[in-house]
Amino acid sequence: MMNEKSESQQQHLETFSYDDDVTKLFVTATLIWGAVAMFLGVLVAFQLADWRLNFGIEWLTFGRLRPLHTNAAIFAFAGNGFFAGIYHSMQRLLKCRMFNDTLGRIHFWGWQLIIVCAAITLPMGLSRSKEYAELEWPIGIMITIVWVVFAVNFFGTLFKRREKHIYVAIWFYIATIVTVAVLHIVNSLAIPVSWTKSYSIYAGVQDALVQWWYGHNAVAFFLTTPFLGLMYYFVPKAANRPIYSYRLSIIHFWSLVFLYIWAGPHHLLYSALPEWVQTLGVVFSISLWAPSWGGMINGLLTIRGVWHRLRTDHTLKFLATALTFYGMSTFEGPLLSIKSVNSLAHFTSWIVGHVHSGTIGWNYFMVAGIFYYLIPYLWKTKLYSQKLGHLHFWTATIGLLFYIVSMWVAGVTQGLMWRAIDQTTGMLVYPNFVETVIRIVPMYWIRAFGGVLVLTSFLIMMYNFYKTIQGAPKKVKPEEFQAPALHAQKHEATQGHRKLEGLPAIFSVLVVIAILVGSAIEILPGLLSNHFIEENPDIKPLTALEQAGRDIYTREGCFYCHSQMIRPMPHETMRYGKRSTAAEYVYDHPFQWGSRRTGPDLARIGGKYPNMWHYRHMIDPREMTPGSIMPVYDWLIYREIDFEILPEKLTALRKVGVPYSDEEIQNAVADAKEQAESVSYMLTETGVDASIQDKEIVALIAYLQRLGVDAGESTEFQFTEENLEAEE
Amino acid sequence: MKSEVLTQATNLWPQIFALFIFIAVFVGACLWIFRKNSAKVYDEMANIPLEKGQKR
Ligand code: HEC
Repeated sequence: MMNEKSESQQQHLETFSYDDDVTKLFVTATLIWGAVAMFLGVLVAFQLADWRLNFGIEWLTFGRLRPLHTNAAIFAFAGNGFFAGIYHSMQRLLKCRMFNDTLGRIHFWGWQLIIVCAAITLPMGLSRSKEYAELEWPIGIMITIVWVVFAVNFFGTLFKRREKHIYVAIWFYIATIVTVAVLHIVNSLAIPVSWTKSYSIYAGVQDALVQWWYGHNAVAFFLTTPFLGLMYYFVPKAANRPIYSYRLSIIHFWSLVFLYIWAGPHHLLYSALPEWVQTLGVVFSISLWAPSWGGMINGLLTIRGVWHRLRTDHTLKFLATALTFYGMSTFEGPLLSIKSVNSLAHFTSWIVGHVHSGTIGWNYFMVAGIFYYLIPYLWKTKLYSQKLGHLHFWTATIGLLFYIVSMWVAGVTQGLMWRAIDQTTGMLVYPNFVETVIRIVPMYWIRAFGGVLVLTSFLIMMYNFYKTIQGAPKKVKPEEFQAPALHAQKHEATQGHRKLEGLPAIFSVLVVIAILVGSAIEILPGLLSNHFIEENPDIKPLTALEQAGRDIYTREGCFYCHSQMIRPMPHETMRYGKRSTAAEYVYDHPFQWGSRRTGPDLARIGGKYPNMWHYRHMIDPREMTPGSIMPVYDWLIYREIDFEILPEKLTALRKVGVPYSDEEIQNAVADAKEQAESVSYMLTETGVDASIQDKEIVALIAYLQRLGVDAGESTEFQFTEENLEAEE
Repeated sequence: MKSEVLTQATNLWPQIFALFIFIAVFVGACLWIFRKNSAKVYDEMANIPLEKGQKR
């Protein structure tokens, strides 16, 4: 191409090299964090199969490690992975070095610092209790700053580029950068109580809406768009032929960006969310199938004609498999959004399987494919072992299949058991929740085994790359390239989309508009107007002690296993009590509806059991429910309630709209102590030491006993004090 | 408000209008992307990843 340029342009050639060191840093970090993320995944998988595997250590319990696993997989592994790919590909696509090397280093080290902070704070239980947005506000601010540094470096590079056209991969990167910024900021808004505790400014239904708008679009704009951009660069590169259809890529980009932002509410079907928002979410989720498959087909067809190389070329093999899994999970996603399918699959392991066919099948395989290309290229050497490459591929693929299939079986089995109603008696066939748990424990073992294979595959890959890098020549002079400066290039009459691409700023604005349209129509009405929530004057804010209990509930991550949302279905109301309504959640900062029912719903647990039941159940769940897989929470009987902070907590909650009176705030400590005394009265009666009064378990019990009580009549079987006395 | 929105659901015109806009924009974009004489430009762009920049 270049030699076709005219003489005059030759004179304007500029010489430059690429900043490959920053890419190498990100590559290294990806490999390390990937192993950590997968190890954590395997650990929590085994914990569901055998509850003892947290070794009785609170920092290792499921509720605290699950967020660490997801954050490590998404932000540490996939994040570092696509940063590596972006830094490499954008410099080449734009024919210029990154805008500023130092900004790249700040981005790198800042991001690693954030991950280290996450690895420390999450096991400690410092969590905002919103999925994939758990990190407390100071870390949230760090994320914002580092993201801005990345954005400045990115757009700076765009402005000093030497390539006039902006290739489609770059659009996907732009969409990633602007959208993630918007999502992160809007979902993170909170009022701090202290350095380590804050309350979401949104409550209940609104918090749910914002959270899943964020949560789904984290999948869309953190795990999908950057990787699609990488796909558009690395697949042509590996196949050594241009993308199958550039036109299709334009349609792919705009329809994906426009449609994705609407899909979030499919996480909240049959919940207390307004019906019309749910319907919008379903419609757009199903529409998403088209652009997703358009992109997949575009990628796969690029490989046509070089299929035979799949046998020997690890890059192509992994990329093609990644695209296949992408196709599978983007088919499954819309399927799961259909309301009747969702009614069965929601809250079950099926969703967990779906997520992993995306994150392992798509993200991990993409990263692997890209690294098989990138590492030999960057370190100017050859892959250490082809054989290990094959072994890597097969262990990963087989492990993933074990994972997906076991979760399908577990999900469908448990979903069917939950809804089974006896035709003749009209009663639940499995009224005991734990029966449905015990039935799927074998599947948990198989899933954990699949996870071990996937982790093993990763370690094989790491070893192979380690050896590759070790054998690389030590000092290589950076390659130099030449290209004319942008302003020196002949300017053809530009028009239409090409002009648009030539103007990154305007392009970015259009992307922002595309994502804001959906966000505004779907979310703003719910945020600005309380009319969607029919009021219920019986619903009162929690007492100070109950709020302390709720903070323990969020700290321990109970919501990763327990929902607080009873869907309007006969089997749910028979099992848990009457359906949940939006009004019940108006003081919930953050909402705790949950996404997976590893254990039963707790929305109306209040009054179902006596305090003593909860006390013994938290210390040893198996004593009360044989076969339970719930972890032991015995530290709650040693740790003291932090009474002193309660006035500050209530004040912060008042700022976000919970109507606590001045009096309630002033007397928070005394009120809480009084309630603690009465809650523990029932425990000390039966022989528990009186010192239990100021222990955390009392606050937690107070909270659990309040759940669903305001809304009236809970379940059919009521074990209240009166009931028990009457029995005697 | 919920019932307000639901009453709107019987009013088909906004929905048909929205549908029309969506389809019109989509079809318009496709027509434009597949416009005549654009093949050369798209080929050029599709080849960007395969260019290396001129080595010194
Ligand atoms: C690893 C998943 C898991 C975590 C984490 C977990 N639970 Fe459970 N929980 C279960 C399972 C499974 C059951 C059903 C068996 C049983 O009753 O123990 C259950 C049952 C319960 C029940 C009895 C519900 C009923 O209707 O019978 C309560 C109450 C409860 N959990 C509270 C909590 C609290 C509070 C936390 C956080 C401190 C918590 N759970 C954390 C899995 C979990």
